[in-house]
Amino acid sequence: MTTTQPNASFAPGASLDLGLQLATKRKSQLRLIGERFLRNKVSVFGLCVLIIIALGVILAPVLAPGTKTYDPTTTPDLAIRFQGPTLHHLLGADYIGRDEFARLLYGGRVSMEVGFAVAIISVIIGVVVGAVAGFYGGWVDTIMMRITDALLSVPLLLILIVLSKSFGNGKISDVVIIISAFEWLILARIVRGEFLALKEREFLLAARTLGASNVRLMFRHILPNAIGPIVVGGTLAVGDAILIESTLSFFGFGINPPTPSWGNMVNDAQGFLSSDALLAVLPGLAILVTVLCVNLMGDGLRDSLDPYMTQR
Amino acid sequence: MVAETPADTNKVLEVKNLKVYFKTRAGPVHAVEGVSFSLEKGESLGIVGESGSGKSVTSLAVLRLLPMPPAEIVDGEVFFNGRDLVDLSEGEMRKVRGGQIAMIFQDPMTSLNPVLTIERQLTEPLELHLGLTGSEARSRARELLEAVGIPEAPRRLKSYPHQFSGGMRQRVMIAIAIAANPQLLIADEPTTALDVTVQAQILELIARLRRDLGTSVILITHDLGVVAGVTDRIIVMYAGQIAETAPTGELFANPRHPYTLGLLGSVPRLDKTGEGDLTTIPGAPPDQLHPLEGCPFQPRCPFVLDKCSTYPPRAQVGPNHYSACWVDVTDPAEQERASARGFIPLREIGRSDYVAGETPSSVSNS
Repeated sequence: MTTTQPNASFAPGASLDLGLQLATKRKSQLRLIGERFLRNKVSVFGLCVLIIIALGVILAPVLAPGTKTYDPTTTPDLAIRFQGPTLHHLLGADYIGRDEFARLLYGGRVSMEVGFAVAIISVIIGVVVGAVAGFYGGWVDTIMMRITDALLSVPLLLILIVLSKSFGNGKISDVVIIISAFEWLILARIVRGEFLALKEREFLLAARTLGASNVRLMFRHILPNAIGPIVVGGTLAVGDAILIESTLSFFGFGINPPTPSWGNMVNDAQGFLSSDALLAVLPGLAILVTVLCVNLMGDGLRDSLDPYMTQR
Repeated sequence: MVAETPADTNKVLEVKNLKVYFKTRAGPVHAVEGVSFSLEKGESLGIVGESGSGKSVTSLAVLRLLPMPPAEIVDGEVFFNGRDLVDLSEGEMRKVRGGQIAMIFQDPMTSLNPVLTIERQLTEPLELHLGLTGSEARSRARELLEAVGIPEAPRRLKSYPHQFSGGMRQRVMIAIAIAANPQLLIADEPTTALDVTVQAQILELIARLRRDLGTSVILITHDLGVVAGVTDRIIVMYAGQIAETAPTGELFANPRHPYTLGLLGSVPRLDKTGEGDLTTIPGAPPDQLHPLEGCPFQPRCPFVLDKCSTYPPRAQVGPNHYSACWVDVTDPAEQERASARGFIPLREIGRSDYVAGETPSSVSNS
């Protein structure tokens, strides 16, 4: 390079070097996150187990087929009461002779549906409330956060039982709405915290200088920066909702029998703990494994989405 | 004075007696205390002052971007193309921001959104102000990147800010700022966070775009070296007020305000080493919570007089050259008097060879 080259970096040689260097480095954000997630063996294990459970649940009609007159989850067959595992009934039958394997799979459907539906609804409400509170601050924030504080101070199980008793019909949609009504609170707090911090960042002032409106600033400029904690919060909400649904169903305030749910299956099996422990252990184990795997995955996502964990 | 159109249609921006206070529990902080200036089409104006002198607040007030509960525009008018921006609705103001007045900030590391691609950020003003979307916006974004000297624009558009160096990021910021063809570009310390070598490139880029696009530029800085080469006129601010304003060459050749002298004296010189410590202006920056009666510079001013407790009028001291000071600092008798208070005159007044550490006796010519 000559001595009096004012724009040295524009010299063809220089730009070529830069291009080569960057070409090797360029990976999409999503791929980086994926690679970081895959490095966390425990989370990957959680994800794999969840995928197996999800496949089982989705393929339930194939794995545990019924006929027009025989629904393995609801039709009692007193001839096979308390039967142990057989080729026909892989995990045996319960106290009125319903197929335990089929009930586990269909119960898992309920759990998964409740878990994901609650998570999605909670994320939507939580993001909107948290974003508005965190972005505008002041009295808007104070009012919204005092409301969430108040709701968080209510004994959760009690209020859920009361609501379910008063307004619920034991349908999945009722359970979802009742749980969502409280599940969004945590997400709103997470999102509010993120927005509170992000709105002070200089790039936001820069975006404002370009003439972006408040709604645009919130959802196009700040929200993408908060996506990590929101995804993690949403994942953990799935596990939380599954647990709450099971608890409610166990106490008889969740999903109405005979529709199977892991919670009401444990309830059904309580009377036979000493003779047929498997009937209680299996749905209990299903709840434990599913929630544990969801949480493991959430932890892994938290680490891989953390912008401060740069690639190693 | 309501809705009065300034007679001079060449004026892009005219700020009249702008006062911005920050309401605090301890009382109002007088951040900007009656600033007036104007800017013509294609003109480049430098605003110089130390931290807290109100230079950034002035520019943010023009764009009405100050957080309004603590900040308040107490008085004054900001005419942009004859319209008073202070009275505009928020919706109309959004059209001005980015569309007609754009701004670039000090730290390119923090003023780009880290999770959005450069393309997304470049197309934002195109979408907001020119209604361009899709492939139209993308091709314009590519042109803009090329215009600010970023090679391989199509590929770089897909990159994220962390994949760029500081100088490149500032180029991107400039590309975003000029995207909607604004008439006025406000650059708030655009080179402070950059390497010295890159600083020159960025200043050159701003100067070139100003020539090519006919944009007026306000360059805010605390570094006199930055404004020297690229501005037509300089405003020196102190304590929210304009201490001195002059055409650039005139200000360096013939500084008339003691604060300007202090600023020029504080510029370190490589060729004058070994003569002791770096020169500073003694004393602390003013406390804007308790503004002084009269000239705010008096506690630090070697030329201080009794009558400085009343604010000096803005006096014309040369062609287009105004200074707010009671004292004629070019008067040798005044310099003699000031040297007793530690004033170290700039050697060879009349040239931009400013140096400290000389004995007072060497300043008798001029």
